[in-house]
Amino acid sequence: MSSRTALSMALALCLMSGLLWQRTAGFSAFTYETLRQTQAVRQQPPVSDWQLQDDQGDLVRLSDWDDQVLLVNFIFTRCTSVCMPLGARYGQLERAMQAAGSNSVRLLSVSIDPAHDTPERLAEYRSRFGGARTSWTIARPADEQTLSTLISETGLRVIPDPIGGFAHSDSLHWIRDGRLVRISAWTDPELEGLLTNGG
Amino acid sequence: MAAERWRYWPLALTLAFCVAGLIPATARLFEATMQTHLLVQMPLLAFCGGYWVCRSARLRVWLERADPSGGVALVLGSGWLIYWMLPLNLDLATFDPGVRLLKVVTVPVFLGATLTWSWRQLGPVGRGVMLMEGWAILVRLGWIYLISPVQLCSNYLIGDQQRTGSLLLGLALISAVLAVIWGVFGPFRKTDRFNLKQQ
Repeated sequence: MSSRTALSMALALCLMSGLLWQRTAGFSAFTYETLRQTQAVRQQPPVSDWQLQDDQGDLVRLSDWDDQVLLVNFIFTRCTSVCMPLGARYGQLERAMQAAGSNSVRLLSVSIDPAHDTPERLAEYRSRFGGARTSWTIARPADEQTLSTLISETGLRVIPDPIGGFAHSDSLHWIRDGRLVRISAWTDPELEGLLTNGG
Repeated sequence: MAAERWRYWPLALTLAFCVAGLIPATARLFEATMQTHLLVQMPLLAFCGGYWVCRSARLRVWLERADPSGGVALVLGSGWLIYWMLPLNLDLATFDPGVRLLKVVTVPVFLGATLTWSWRQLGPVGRGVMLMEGWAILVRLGWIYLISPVQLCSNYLIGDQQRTGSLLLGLALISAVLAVIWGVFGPFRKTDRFNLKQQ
């Protein structure tokens, strides 16, 4: 093998490694979900003031809770898979916050199926897990525009599944001061600590 | 005259296939399931690139000057193969038009054409390594997709992922069987006949 060939091969190797390194954010993200998590922490994209309707039918918006850190998850009440343990987890977190007497974090569950999830259905979802409205808001986007806005701002991917529901990310999104600052797994055992210490 | 024009039809077909991968209406057909995206569109795009190398003497002359050993092409081709095997890129190609364009332009050139060129230029040992590594890639990818408990792609449901994994493993099994048949009835058989004649 001539030295010219060896040099070209070495350059090609550097080029390919560089492209892979750039795409995977430093070899840390190999799936879209992990890339979202990495980018949230690094870029902290801003989110707009989502207009939502809570489970009592009142119109609320993100700016109502400007002084709190929001921990947002995405659900739909017909879900038979991950939304149930997600709700149970939120119930747990809410009780942990109440026990510690901290209110710097607000839990927010947003429905991605506003057509079906009326305020009554949202209230029924809450009754399964028993969370107080003062610290856990369950809401749906007030209109289609808000739904598509929040999907594009968080990079959420929602695809229909064969049984009439949806497959979507079950991660928890931290929103502070109008920016998405972190995406955590709902199974993370450190969440209680983070919540009681103010996120 | 008709015969002259007939010569260019396969080339036009390959170009039309690449363009079809870009137009959202037809691209959606290929990207609908993971099997069609990964096992139909990607190999066909690579085939287009390989076809261009086999068809065009001018291209081969240029490649002969640029990379006589086939080594640089091998590095580029393998690197690009790894790049497109990441679930992240498969996902992004489905909903990011920039990545879709990147896929349609670079997979024929940097994956198909490069690997075809290196195959032509490498000796039997190099080709053997390519075949072995290619087979190993089928097995690894198929295995990961089959046993992963997590949905790796945000755009394809876990059932789709598992079916793709099974197909990949099935392809690996078929190739292994074919290789054994070729080995038993091919070179070894010729060796036997040669030895018999010697006696």
